Amino acid sequence: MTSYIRKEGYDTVELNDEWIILNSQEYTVTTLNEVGGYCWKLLHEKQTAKTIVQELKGEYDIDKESVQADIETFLSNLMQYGLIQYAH
Amino acid sequence: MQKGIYCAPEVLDHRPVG
Repeated sequence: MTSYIRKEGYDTVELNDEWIILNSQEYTVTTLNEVGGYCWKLLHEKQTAKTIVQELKGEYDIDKESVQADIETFLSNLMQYGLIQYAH
Repeated sequence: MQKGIYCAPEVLDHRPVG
């Protein structure tokens, strides 16, 4: 199972249920929704899609089966924007 | 403790800024 972790050099601001991630080295701003921000917070430590789903089930009322797919898509987007990296 | 309402995590926006 692939593990992910945040890259260094990001500052995070929570504002009106959105999370704003500033990278002062790459000069980018990324905005996440509330659940995305919760996932981002978890990615302070090494995580897999499965461990994130388990954490989300403890925090949110989830009754849909596609959560794992949601998380994998989200992680793929974070990788694409350079916010996370593979953890070894 | 009451759980929050789940919606899929999303990247809403990403942009360079004498």
